[in-house]
Amino acid sequence: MIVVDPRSAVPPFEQIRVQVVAQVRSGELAPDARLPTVRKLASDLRLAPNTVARAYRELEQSGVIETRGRHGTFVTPHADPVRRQAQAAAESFARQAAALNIGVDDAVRLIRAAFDAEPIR
Amino acid sequence: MVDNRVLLVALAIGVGGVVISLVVTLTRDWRRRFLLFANRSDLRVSDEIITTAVIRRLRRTDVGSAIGCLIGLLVSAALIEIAHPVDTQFFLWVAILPVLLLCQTAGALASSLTDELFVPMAHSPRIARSSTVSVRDYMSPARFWLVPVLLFAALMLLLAGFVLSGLGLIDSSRFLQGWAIWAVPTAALFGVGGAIAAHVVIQRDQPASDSLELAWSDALRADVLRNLWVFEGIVVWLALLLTGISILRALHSPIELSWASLVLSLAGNFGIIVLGLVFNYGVGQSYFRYRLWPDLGDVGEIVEDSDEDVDDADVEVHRP
Repeated sequence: MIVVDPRSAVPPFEQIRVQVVAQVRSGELAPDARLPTVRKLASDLRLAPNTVARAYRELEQSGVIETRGRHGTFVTPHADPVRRQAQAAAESFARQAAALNIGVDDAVRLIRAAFDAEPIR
Repeated sequence: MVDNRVLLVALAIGVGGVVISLVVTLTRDWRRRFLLFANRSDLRVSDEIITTAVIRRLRRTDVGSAIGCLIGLLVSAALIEIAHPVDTQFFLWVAILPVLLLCQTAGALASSLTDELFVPMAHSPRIARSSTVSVRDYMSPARFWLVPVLLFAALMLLLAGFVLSGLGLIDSSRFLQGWAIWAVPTAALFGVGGAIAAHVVIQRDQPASDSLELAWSDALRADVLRNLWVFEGIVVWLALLLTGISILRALHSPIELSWASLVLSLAGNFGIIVLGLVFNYGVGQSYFRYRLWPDLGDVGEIVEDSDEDVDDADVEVHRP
């Protein structure tokens, strides 16, 4: 749920932005969850469409949501904190493997061996 | 002369229907109706603002439905006048009933779509969902898929009729002159129209000041969608029946028209009863509550009101 308090000193677009970020972080908004259209959210919250559009724009710029053409606006898959952490670890491993002159196949083999190892399981 | 008499009877029933609906609207115990709706929707506590708004919407929907029925009766009378049906019982099932149900559903739909349930005050907080919802959030999968499955079955039966005609197992000219040829496409058209109407209902604004108001708005939305699905279910069921009867009538030793009428009448009634049970039984009216509002908090507490003190019950305020 997004709650906008008109009496708050915080501008409505910021209230929306902060709440969406918090919901994505907490998992309430799952990765790939579809957000309402700008017009729909604006009319539900009795706000000008530009206000909601600004909140969406800032969320998109920070990578929390993404627009997929006519399909609508979605929470980016990488917005999932667990997935993001795994992605960062994978990138770090890939960099180190490249520095050590290890090819992709060997790197994948090493990861598979690590997964197969008892302690990780 | 006979047709004119039927027309006059239909008009008299229509006028009678309007009078009855007016009497019901004026004399009905709307608070009791509200409590009944609340109980079925599993939303049993509210304050006066919500009670007044929901009662207004229920009244509007009932009036819209009654006006739709009246229009349906007038259209039916016109249809009888134009078509001059030989078998009035058959005509009742294939034309009058769908027209009446269509007008009734359209009337209820229009009156709920043109009404704004809650109007938040200028400085009160506003609440909205952060993710989109679909029809499936208001209806269980079994109920949702019932209409498409029935429509698919009707299409398959129509296809089977064509195949049997092609193989010469049934009389193709009799089959092509039967009801199936237009009943199934009409049902498919209604299906598409219903899907569009459901989309319009889902896209409709839901202004609310708190989660309880939004939950009530969902309850009324679920009711509109449920009525829409029941209507579509009846139309598709009739199309399925008519296709089956068309095949039976096209056999080389076809069933009598009177038997076909009887089968249609019995199976039609059976279908309407079953659909009514399916959409009202169990969580038919409160599925949204488990899907969208699994944890509504203490605002979902039950107020135990005895029958005697329902009329003057002071509905408790449990708003957060």
